[in-house]
Amino acid sequence: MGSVHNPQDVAIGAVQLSGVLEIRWRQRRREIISPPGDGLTHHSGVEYGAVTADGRLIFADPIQASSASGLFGTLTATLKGVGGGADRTLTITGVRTGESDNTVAHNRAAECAVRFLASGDDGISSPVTLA
Amino acid sequence: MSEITVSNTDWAILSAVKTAIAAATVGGEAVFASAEICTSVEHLMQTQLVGDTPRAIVLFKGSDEQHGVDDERFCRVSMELILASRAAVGADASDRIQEMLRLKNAAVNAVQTDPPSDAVGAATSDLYRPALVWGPADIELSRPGVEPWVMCRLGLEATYAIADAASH
Repeated sequence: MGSVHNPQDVAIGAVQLSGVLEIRWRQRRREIISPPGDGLTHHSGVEYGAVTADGRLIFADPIQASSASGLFGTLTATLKGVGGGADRTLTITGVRTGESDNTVAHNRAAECAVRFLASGDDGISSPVTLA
Repeated sequence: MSEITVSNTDWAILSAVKTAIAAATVGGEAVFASAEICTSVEHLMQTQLVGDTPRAIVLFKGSDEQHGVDDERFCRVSMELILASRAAVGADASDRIQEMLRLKNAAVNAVQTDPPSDAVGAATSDLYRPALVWGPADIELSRPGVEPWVMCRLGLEATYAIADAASH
């Protein structure tokens, strides 16, 4: 079964990031649910709001994580194919990174997460593309 | 043909372990009369259980590797330190055990005091391995054909990192 793994050549804008263990991203929509009327057991209207794209970059080194903080630009990464799967290119536009959240513990690698938010260019197109 | 380079860190680590053991002293006196490398227990019993005592033999057992981040490779060299000494054979093995444990602890201290410079360990989200991992010490106090030698077989794994798959 084909899949992808091992994010490589990770960059945000012109800044190359090394030591990226994981890229976690998601696109969420706020759930809009109208309240049911008296005597009703089901909602009569449900909707999704606008899309929010966000994610996290995971490092094992607090220094490498700090180099990813406070950036703005397009995030690009190569996701290496495995098990017969082809390499993919992840592109997320309008990425703005926050600060790192670090955990250093006994007998395991540190886990350092840098959160990011992403915005589309025109408010219509998704900031996330995979090719 | 492509021009390649070979760093051969596996050997550098084996050599460093051997050197550390050979150079270890207590009170200015060498702990081990000699330190050598071999690849077979049978070979060492045939050819190396002779001469001055105690002896230290580094038995190379194998190597393997795992992938790290950014194409990095974490390589592991597995070996066994075989510490051999001549000791009087008797009903009470206390002296032999005491001496073999002394040699075992001396060997550990020697390597930990002067560890292989290439050994760095590995740490990623799904892998954690210290630079040096010691295995259990298996003391063979009596074995046909070996007496009056007694041996301690002490496992050791060293992990080092290389930048990519073609940097071995």
